[in-house]
Parts: sequence; structure tokens; C-alpha cells
Amino acid sequence: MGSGFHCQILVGPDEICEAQRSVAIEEVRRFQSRAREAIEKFRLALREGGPVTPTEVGAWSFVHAWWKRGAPDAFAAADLLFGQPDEIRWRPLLGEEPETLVSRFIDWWRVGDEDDTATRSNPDLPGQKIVVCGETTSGGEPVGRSSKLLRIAIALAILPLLGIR
Amino acid sequence: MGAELICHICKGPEEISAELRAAAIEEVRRFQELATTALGHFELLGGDGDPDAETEALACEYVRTWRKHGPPELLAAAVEFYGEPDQENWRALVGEAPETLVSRFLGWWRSCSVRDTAARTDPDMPGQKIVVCGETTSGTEPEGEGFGHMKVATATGMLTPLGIR
Repeated sequence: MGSGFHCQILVGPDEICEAQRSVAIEEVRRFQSRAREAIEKFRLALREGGPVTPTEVGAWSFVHAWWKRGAPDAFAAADLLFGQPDEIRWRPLLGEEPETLVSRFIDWWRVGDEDDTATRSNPDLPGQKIVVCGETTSGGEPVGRSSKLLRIAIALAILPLLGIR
Repeated sequence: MGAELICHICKGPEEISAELRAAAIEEVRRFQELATTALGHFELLGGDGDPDAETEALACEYVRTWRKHGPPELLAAAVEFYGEPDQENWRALVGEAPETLVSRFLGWWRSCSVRDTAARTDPDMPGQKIVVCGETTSGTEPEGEGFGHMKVATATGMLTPLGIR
């Protein structure tokens, strides 16, 4: 990642409806449940002394497949952005209720008044807007609040459910 | 004042046809003719020369009308971004041929490969792209190359004929 202006450019609805919000919450709930299982499997498989019990051996197969073929689709973005399943690394994805995570993201999307965010209406599609978030960095990843919110939303795979591309 | 993302967000065709390019050149030519006239009048009143009475009266009337009603519509953006007509400040707008200004802008628009610029294809309209240029500043105007291209393009009126909004 070179130095310069690092940003995400998104297109989506001005207003996110209640139905979309509910679907996203449900998806996050499912993600969190499966993610906790994945974290536990990684923990069991990688514990000191290696896998011994049948449960640990099963967990090792899961981890081995993850390393060999890549993360399952549901976790691909989380793996890419937050690393392999781990309680601390994945805390931003699991540490809060689905409702809280989704609502915080939608509030940001609606208002977009953070310092690292700029928005405009989509000139071709009334009711849609373009949102840009990012910052000028000297090579590192953007650390602004919006960039963090967006990373979480991408990892949770909720953007398409909210109509955001 | 904290750091803030200041940027242009615009949409337009990925490929600019020869017809659109020609129309943009024509628009910049019109702009430059009007700008040159304005520069001449403003310079005359502020300079050390000894214009004849008729020329001076003409310049006085021009500037008086400008101050009363604002600049001609075609020059409004130039005044907004570069201030009142001034040879030094307006050099970027009138110092080169229209063909050069438009070609330079299109080179940037096509590649978007400068540090302060990011782009993506419009997910809803194939053939169109969204371009963002700017940087995080403490409230001052961004100085990046892409932002500069957009500033000149907006001031000279070439965006509309190019189909860029």
C-alpha cells in the first residue's frame, strides 16, 4: 500500500429501510454464531501439545482446510481484513450485539458527517448517494472512524443486504 | 481545526469520445475569450498604463457591471476558485491552448493514476465511473494533482460537455 489518498467509494440508498436493517441484523447474528464456533476450533486445534482428542482432531481438519483452501465464503472478508479467527482480533465483529453493530453503521451511512467521510447525491439515480471515506496516509491503512466502521461492515458481509455496492 | 477529508466526487463516462472532447475544447475556447476580455478590463483599471478615455470608460463600465451583478455566468466558477480576474492567478486557465488543457484533463481522467485520486466503475451504470480526488487537510484547500485538474476543469467549464457531473 503506497502513500497517498486511500479511500472506499460506495453507492447505495439515501435511506435504508427497516426490512433491510432486519435482514442485516439476522445475517450478523448468524455470522457471530458461526464465527464463535470457528474461533473455538482454531483455539482447540492450535493449543499447545497439538490436537489429541477427537474434538481437537476435528478442529484441526477445519483449520487445515482453512489454511489450504482459504476461508469459507462467509468468512472470507473477515479473514482478509481481521486475520484468522481469534477472540481478540475478531472482537470488533463479535464484541457487540448485532443490532448495535448494524445500527451504528446505518447511522453513519445516513448522516456521514465524520471528518474522513464525504457524500453527494448520485446524479443519475435519485434516492441513491455516493459515499467516500478514507484519508491521506503515508502508506498505512486509514484509521478514521468511518474506515473502521466500513471494515467491520465489509467483514460482516452486510453491505449487499443494505443495498450498498 | 481537525483534519478533514476535502474532495471532489464526480461521475462521468469511462471513455470520452472525440465529439465530447471537441465540444469541451470549444467550451474552453469560449471561456478563454471571455476571460481574456475580463482580464484586459480589470488589468487596465489596476495598471500603470495610460489608456485613452474611451478605453478606460469601457473598462470602468465593465468592472462596475461586474461588481453590481456579479461575473458573467461562464466565468462564475473561475472567480469562485481563482478570485477576480488577475493575470497571475488566472494563468492556469488562460495560459495554454484549449486543446492542451482538455487533453491534460482527459489524461488524468482516463488513468486516475495520481496520488490524490481514486476511481471505480459505477456499479449501476456500466461505462460510467466515479472519480474521487482530494486529501485530508486541516481545512486548507488540497494541493494534489487530481484536485488541481478538477479545479481547472470546473473553472473553464469543460466538465458539462464532457458529460462529467
